[in-house]
Amino acid sequence: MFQLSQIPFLMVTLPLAGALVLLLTARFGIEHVRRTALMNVLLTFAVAVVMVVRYDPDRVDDNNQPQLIQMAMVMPWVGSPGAGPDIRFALGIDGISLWLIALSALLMIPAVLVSWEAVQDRPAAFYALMLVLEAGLIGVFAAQDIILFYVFFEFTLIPLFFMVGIWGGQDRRWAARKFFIYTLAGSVLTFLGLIAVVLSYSWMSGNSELTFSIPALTQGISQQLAVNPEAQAYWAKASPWIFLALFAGFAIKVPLFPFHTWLPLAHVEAPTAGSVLLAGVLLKIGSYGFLRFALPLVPEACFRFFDFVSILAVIGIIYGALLALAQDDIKKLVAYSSVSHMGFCLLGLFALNSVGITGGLLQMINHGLSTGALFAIVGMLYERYHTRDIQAYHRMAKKYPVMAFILLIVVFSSIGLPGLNGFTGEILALMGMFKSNWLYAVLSLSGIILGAWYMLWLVQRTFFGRLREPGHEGHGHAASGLAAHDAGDYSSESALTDLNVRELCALVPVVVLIAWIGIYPQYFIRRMEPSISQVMRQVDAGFQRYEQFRAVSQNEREGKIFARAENPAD
Amino acid sequence: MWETFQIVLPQTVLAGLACLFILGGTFSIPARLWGPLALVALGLSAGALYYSAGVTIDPTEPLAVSRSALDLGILWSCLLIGALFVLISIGSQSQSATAAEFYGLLLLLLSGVMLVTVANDLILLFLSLELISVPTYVLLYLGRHDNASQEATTKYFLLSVLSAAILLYGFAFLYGLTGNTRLDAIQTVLSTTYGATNSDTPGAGGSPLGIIALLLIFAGLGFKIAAVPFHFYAPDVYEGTTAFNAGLLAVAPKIAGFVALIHVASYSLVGFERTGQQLALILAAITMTGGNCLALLQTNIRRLLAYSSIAHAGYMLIGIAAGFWESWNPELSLQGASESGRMGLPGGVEASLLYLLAYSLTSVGLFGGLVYLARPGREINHIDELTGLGRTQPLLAAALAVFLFSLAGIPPLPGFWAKLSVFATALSVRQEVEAGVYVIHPAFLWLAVIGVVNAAIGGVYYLKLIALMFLNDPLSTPRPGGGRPALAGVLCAAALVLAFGLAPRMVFKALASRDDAATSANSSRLNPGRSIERLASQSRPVDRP
Repeated sequence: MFQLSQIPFLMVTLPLAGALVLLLTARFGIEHVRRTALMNVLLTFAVAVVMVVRYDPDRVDDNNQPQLIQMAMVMPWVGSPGAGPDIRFALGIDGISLWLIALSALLMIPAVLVSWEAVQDRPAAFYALMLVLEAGLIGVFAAQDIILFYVFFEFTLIPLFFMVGIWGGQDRRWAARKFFIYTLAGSVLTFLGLIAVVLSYSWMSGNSELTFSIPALTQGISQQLAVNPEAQAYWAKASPWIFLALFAGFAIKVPLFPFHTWLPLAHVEAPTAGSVLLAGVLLKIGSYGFLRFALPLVPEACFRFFDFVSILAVIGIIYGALLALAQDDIKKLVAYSSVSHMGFCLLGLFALNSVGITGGLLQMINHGLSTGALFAIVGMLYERYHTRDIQAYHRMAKKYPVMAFILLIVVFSSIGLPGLNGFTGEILALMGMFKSNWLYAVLSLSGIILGAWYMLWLVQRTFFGRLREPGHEGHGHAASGLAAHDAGDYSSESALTDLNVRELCALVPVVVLIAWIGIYPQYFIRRMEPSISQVMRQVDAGFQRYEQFRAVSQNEREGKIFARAENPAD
Repeated sequence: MWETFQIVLPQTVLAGLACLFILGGTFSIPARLWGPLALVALGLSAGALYYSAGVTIDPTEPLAVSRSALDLGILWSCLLIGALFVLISIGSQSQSATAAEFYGLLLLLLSGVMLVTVANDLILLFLSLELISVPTYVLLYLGRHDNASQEATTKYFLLSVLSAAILLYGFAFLYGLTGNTRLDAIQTVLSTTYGATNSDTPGAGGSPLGIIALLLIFAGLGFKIAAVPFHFYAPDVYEGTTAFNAGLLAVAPKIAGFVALIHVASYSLVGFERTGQQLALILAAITMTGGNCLALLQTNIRRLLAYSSIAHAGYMLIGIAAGFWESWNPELSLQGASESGRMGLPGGVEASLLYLLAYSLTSVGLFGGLVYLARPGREINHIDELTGLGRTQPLLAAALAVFLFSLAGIPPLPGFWAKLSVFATALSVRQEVEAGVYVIHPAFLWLAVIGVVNAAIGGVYYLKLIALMFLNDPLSTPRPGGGRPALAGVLCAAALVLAFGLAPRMVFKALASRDDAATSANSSRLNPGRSIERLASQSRPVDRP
């Protein structure tokens, strides 16, 4: 008997079961393996569609309270009260995780399809790792238990490490290790922050049992802070440290400006499917972490570090765009554009008002779609010519009109052309920031202009102008990566054709969503809204506490100065 | 009196059978029989343990042994780990001329570890620690016959004797301070002398004699657990001996050392918690950092794992440090913010034991993998010899990756639950900063931060090994000489590690049982001293609300 509450559980276990099946039936050959993987991914996506359709943002529970977390499933896991820590296997969907889960399930389709021909070496292991990664990603977004969240959060590193390290490019080993260690180093500090949150709540409330449930912690802490002056005094001291601990892991994952150096390397060296998932979904874990933990749990610290985070985001936007402008490698260009675009997400979230947060969340999905599609297209080009050098491509549009068409849509989405999804997200994020601090909003506008510049320039250089295929005109170095039999194919014009059905199937769903969000974002925002306004309630309460605390400390400081003025002998 | 023999029956069975093994070595019995026979011996001991688990002790009777519910769990784990050790050695010992002696000594060593767990008397404790050391000397000699091995054995022997002397000196001070050798009696004496005066006011509690005793005990046992700065022997000895011996050294003395440290220092030395906590805190920080940083530089696989085992001793010491604070200030720790006590996660000492179990299981598997890969007279030395193992030995490589990820603390593996527990105990230590406002104690906060930074550093070298195995193409095809039983042992360990990681319920429940036993009045298996300690700590005047 199928029940709605089984949906998140199903979405985590389906890919895992698929991975197991793939490993056990690897001997039936590549055709069997990739078909099974595709079936599994499509099935999971179908469940995701059911999830989106059945999610009701207006549902109320028996007490007429809004019930935002739906399809919830809780199983005892590590212990039960009285016997071990009450860490549970709790999954559930709310308006924030809904779209990110759907995004993960959707992007798996292009990820599988672009690997179709590209991965010939041990395909069973590759697709199995990819499915394990999908399970981990969905688990991160669906987890309603703080330790379960961290388990999935860290666990996603393992499959991606192997995907990058085994099936990646030239420098794959170093890229995989750097990616893993860098992320691990940040997330262990986040781990301390999460433990501290759990302990803090039990101290505030005097509960003898530790609570690990995320909704119970966010609700409980804000309730305690509203009524308990001792808790307020404690939180005033503890919250900045907890924020910094959370920040360490999430900022690296996003990545925010000084912590972004792992990203271009990992993106460039990863196989196409790895890049699609890394840029499309994995980076969102960082911003999701801010939205899920930092904003509702330590809002006063978010206000306190507002300038710090916003300036880093603005630097990331501009610096990432400038770096993208200077790249010769298409993948690197897209990777740096991610740094720039994720800056907008964070800028939206740290506007700390509901418009900004909506924009930030929407921008996460937009970036996932457009960058995922961009990496997929770059992968398709690479499959044809085995080079990522921008100089090597010219006037591809003549030869690949369909690819050019889709690329243009994706690029326009990425630079925020009105009518496509990028515009909606960016404008909301910037409007939110404009309300909070107009200067940061204006500065980051230059990021949009630079973004249009490097993206359009890329398209102009590679897809328009004179037709020149790599490997023809003195680009010996570019063709050096080719297998010998491939090189021979370049003489015949017909060997390399425009997008085939498989590649179209990979891109079309993404393009449809890009247009859909652009034309009718209300469908998406409607489902986020109640959850965001719940976060906003906590942010508003945090703002009051922050103001109060600042007033008190200012009084104290003035009092001290005053006292010093009275007694200059001190 | 009779209960004493019943309690030590499993250890007696093991030691007696060990003597029979060594005696049997003089007859011409085929070498390949001794390994399975050793498994049978462990089975008999398990049967004896099953029988003795039902034995109850009268808490008022002064006995040389004691056993709490938690100790029982340690004993079962010891037998399990012992069985894994036997399993991984069967292949390499099947042709050996000294197989009988080898297994006899192994069983003797195991009975020593199990005796440490139940010892309630300083003399018995010391003797059981020696029962671990002496077979180790011989096993180290039996392993290899070259200069490096001789050097390693001599080094281990000399330093081990020195540390035993230091430990004994510490025990002597403890006897001088309390006039007793029984741990529960020492504990009672100390809690009546110092416990009530509340040692957190400087100068009130903690006689210098006791502090000297504590220092010496830490130094003596620091050798066993390979804590920095008592770790110098570990890398040289691990490098100079076989993979099997290195594994044994990484696990057996560590279990015995920590259990002894917990029984003597954490449970019995009431009134010296402040010193104990400071010592453990400093040792933890330098041990973690030293071990991890030096492990980064290693290219010899056993040397690398030696430093990694040093680093893990540091994490376990975090729990010990927090445990001292817990018995000192129970209301400002995981012990509870409220009247009703614990909050679910294991307390300091239990967290260390959880870590110990996770570490031991993974280490057996990891060293077992090296035993499997080694051929007679040809160990795996350089880490490059593992290159491409993912292609040539996929199953073994997958198991090794599980162990390495677990040691690195990646969820959902035992190492993660262990790290969660110890870091939670460190973060639960609180301090009052202004009236009514308690924040995390800065020293413990820094300890936790150093700990997680170390976890990331540890990730670097564990990942280096995993990358070598999976991301590189094989240089040569390895010809494993360990035999099928060794592979079976490694896979068993991997299965156990995975089960522990995915369903840690049983372990956490067992750790919570110490409390249930302590609070329920009719539990007679309980160490009498410990309930007095709890009473003493509860009745101690609490000057902080």
